[in-house]
Amino acid sequence: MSFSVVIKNELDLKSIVSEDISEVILGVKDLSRNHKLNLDEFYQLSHLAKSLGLKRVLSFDVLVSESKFEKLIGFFNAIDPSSYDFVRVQDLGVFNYLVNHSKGRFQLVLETSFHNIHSLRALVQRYRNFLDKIILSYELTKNQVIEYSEYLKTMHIRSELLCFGSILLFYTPRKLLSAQEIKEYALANSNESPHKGYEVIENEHGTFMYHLKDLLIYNELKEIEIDKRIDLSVKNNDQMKNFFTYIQSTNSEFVKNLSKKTTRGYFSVNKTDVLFPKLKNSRISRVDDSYIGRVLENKKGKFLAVKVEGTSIQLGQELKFINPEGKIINHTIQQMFDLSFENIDQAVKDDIFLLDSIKKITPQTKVYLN
Amino acid sequence: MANTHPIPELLAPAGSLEKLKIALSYGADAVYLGGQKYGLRAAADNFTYDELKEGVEFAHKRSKQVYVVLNSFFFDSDFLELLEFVSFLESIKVDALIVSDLGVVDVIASNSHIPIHLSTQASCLNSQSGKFWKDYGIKRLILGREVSIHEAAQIKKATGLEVELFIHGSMCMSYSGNCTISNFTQGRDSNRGGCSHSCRFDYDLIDDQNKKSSFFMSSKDLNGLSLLDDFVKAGIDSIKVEGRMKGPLYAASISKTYKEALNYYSREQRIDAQKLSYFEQELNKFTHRSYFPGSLDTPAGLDSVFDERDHSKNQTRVFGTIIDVVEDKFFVIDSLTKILPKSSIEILKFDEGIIKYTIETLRDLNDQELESTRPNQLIKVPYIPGVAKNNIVRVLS
Repeated sequence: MSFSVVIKNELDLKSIVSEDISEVILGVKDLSRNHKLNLDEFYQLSHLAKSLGLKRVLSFDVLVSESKFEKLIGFFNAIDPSSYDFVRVQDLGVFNYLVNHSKGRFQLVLETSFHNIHSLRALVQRYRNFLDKIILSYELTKNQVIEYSEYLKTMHIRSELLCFGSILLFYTPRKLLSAQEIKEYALANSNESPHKGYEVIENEHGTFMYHLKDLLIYNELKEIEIDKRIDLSVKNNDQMKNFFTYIQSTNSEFVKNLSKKTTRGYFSVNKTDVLFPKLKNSRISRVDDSYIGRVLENKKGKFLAVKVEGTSIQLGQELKFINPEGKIINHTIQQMFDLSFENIDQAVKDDIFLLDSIKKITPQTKVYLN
Repeated sequence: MANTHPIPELLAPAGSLEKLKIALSYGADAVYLGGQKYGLRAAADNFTYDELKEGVEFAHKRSKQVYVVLNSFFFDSDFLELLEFVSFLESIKVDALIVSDLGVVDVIASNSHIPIHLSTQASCLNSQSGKFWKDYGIKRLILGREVSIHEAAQIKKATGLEVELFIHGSMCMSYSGNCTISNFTQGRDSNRGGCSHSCRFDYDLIDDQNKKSSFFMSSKDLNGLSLLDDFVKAGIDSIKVEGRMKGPLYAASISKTYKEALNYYSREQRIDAQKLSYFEQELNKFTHRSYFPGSLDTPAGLDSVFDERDHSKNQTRVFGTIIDVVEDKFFVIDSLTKILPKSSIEILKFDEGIIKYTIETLRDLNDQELESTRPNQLIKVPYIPGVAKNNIVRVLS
């Protein structure tokens, strides 16, 4: 078992005494989304972590604008390199800069994309020698996590997944709480869905919103050879202490007593695109084969107007109408007219032709050659 | 007076073949659109293979460009049909693909010659990030909405790549590609086309002392028209309009207004206050949230939140599209709304200008007089010189 633990203060550090901790993730407020320490406080914490025999990761996980890039890199370069063992970044620009201007190997956070093996391979092919660890997305399923971590292992790159902690839903550089005259922290209850209690945090880097539930997949990850991150950076430290007690005793009371409910996220299955076909009426979606066009108007007892958008048609051909309810009506063209009600014997693309009115056909009905 | 700076490409959304034709006819230099898979608008009509082919032919006949979005976050299974689709797109000569996933970039770059544009979904915010993507074969960076015009110019200079910036439309409040509210709360992956727009919801914000109802995550709409001079002088290659899900009036109005503004700028090398006011009025004639300049000039501030439910009261609404013109006799409007006799309509011409007209009497295709129109009704109007097939007609509210 190997844990990476986000540590925000000395109290956290004292809560995690365990033999299975491979590294602790520390940070300074200038470079990190959630850490609140200034540089001196960071050095103190880093020193303490080292004295406990822990590897230290410096978190540089903010996204960086062009204007702030030089300043933040300058800040980073001024940090004593002996105060950390690895640097963890998310911004691909920061990663690219470090690869080209610093020594060592880096930890890259890929939690918001890279949901396929192709993207990982493309990355590793070019940057293998610069990657110590890749932090995989918690939107991946178990099979993906196993496959990707095994692949990375063959490339001598470690991998990590959030095991217990907050699920970040939203990150903006805008100050959304200040805009509401609220300082730093609020709970957000949706008035349009049953969801209550999103934690919203604002700091100098912007605004962050977290899921109602914490991710907890410790039991599911037990047998998988991957670093397991404990990230309670928006929580009180009791949870941290309780978690390590829990994994040693597997006392299920721990879960019951948590202040937030937990979820396994998409670890078992990710079906977040199964609803897509229902977002539109497939019956009024065009299908290319034999497509003629669509009905513009059907005036009862008078006429039916069709716009030709596909294949040309002519007298004697049989049409198939599929209305928005899915009803199919077949009709052979005996007579057709132009917009001046003059007889015509064919209609080509972009023409509008008229037929006698046909029952059960409504605008947006699709027309095909039968 | 000759302009010393190249005029940026005007890139408009095309949610359907109809909207592609509208946008290009009204002046857009290029359109972006999605096929049946791989885009970020699962609910849009999107294009079939035949529609893609027709759309590209329509554009190329007019020396215009078509970019196809493949910018969802791919899972492994999505790659099974990717090459077949890309091969088809190459065969019909699409002008570029818009991609956000590194694996997709790599597969396309290795198997086709179609230029690849990096989607804004990848949140490229700085030169170093641009260089990262350049190494993988990216030709153009569609920069994050948080990037200013000045920063974009710096990124262009540092990377040697083309840069594209959004100039108009709805805004994601989150860094693009970094929002999973829809995924985790509605079960619809926003990064694969299913965004449920949870950021537009009303929330109670509760801190230690107060409870406040607010649309605190909803952004005002971007409008960078007044910064056109900065876009041109910064050498921005393409200015992009958001809105593939929006209707034909939007596609027409936005393309026409921005093209006229660019043409005016090209002639005069400036847009004076009176002309700017005219263009701004045109951009107010369709539904939108309150406008703001995004982060194009300075980072979006506290006033960038659209803290209300309703959109602006639009000064016009779409009446319909002219579906046919019988020269010197009549033309036919495919009506989308109810109007009454004596309504004042405006016909948006493809070239500069608007035809204003009052419909004294409403008649259907059988020449029968109507008390009012209804959606999906063909309305016959006496011929007016200058009208053309596919002109959009709006009615004053």
